[in-house]
Amino acid sequence: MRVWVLALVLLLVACSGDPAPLHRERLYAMGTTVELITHRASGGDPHAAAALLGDTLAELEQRWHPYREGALLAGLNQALATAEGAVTVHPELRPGLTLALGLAAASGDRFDPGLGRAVQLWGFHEGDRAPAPPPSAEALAAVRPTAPAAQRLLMDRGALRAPTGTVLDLGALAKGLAAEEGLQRLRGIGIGAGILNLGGDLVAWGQPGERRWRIAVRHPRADSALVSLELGQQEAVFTSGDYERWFEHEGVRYHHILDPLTAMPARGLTSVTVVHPSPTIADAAATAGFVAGEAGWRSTLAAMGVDQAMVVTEDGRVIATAALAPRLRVESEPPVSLEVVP
Amino acid sequence: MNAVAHRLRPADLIILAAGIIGVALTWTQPWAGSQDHGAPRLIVYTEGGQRELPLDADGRYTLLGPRGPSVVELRDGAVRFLESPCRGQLCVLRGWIAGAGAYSACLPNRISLEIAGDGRFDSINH
Repeated sequence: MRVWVLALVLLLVACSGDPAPLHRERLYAMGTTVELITHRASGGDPHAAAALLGDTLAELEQRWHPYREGALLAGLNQALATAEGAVTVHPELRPGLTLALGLAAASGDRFDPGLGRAVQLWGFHEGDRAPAPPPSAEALAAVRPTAPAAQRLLMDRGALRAPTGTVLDLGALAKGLAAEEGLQRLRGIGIGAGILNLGGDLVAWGQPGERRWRIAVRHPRADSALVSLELGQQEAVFTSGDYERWFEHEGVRYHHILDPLTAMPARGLTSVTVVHPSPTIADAAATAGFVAGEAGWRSTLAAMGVDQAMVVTEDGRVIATAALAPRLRVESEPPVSLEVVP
Repeated sequence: MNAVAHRLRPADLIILAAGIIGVALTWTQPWAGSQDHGAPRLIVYTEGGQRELPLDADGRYTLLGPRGPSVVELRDGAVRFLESPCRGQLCVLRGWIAGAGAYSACLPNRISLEIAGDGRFDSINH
């Protein structure tokens, strides 16, 4: 009899489920807060995953930091400062740089990886910008790109030809590259399901048990969720917004997403959210869509192969593509009405 | 059934009851299974780790980051950075945050404040 009682108890306990199936780790890396959420039952050691992630992000920062002494991209920028001809690119930088140039071309140069001088002029290259007025028109004219990235930045057989003094800054792609690399390595050690959230931009893979991952997109002008959606087996959700890095001067807000045409903060949208299987494409597309503004975001994203996106305009309207809208659950109070575009 | 009941000893019944109560307790927990339930809690992340502060008690707290002390203020269930050693002061300008999932950070000083979510979402994009 006791055997039957014990068997019944074990059966009931087995049916009850794990009360805490998710493991959360948080760390600072790449100048932002990083959160790794793993589903225990899907495999892998969450503590080993967090350690591997920390090492990976440190390695990527050492590769892609545009200004830090000793970083590979900073070294390339030093060489470009005086180079008259083509400069050899470190092998570790070639795949990412080639990808960045391809995305720049696809974006119609809304995303430009060679805007470093403008970024420095505005002071947004520093994580902690010192208070200062915006740059003068003359100073901006001196750093404004003279031609589209696809024409002035040319990679050929491992060497880059660029105007002397070009400063590469892949800031608009850094989190995407990190998410892509982090995802591959975490999967490589058997983490079967997780979410890697890099300062608000995330990639999710697998699923936590029988259900799917559900994430929220925060309202760009409020503390609360704007919409939520369930994610597939591998999907990245990246948002570019005017609230991430900014300063105010004489009542005008200046943010860090610069339009390559003007070297000024892009205007017209408050945020652009992109959902795509590739974190790098999602990252570059969110920036490019933001720069393209209300009139151009849809065609720019389409040219980059993105059909799932949502934007919030400066006057507060929320617009989603027809491919994404049916997946969105409105969470805001009062509920916003979604405008849908093809 | 009577025959089965007669063969159960008191200890068997205790085990069975404990199992049923245990299962019932776990079923009262939402499916998400995270720790984000109950009254709102403020989670403070610093380089030294994470800690919780009571959101229902007003007060000021000094938190130490690599740049120096940051002061956070709690009032009426909301929280804000009151003072910060960073140059940009974005964290102070962010102002009060309130509600589940709300977030504010001083990245230069590596301190972030998060009001614990209500368990409806696994992660938040912004």
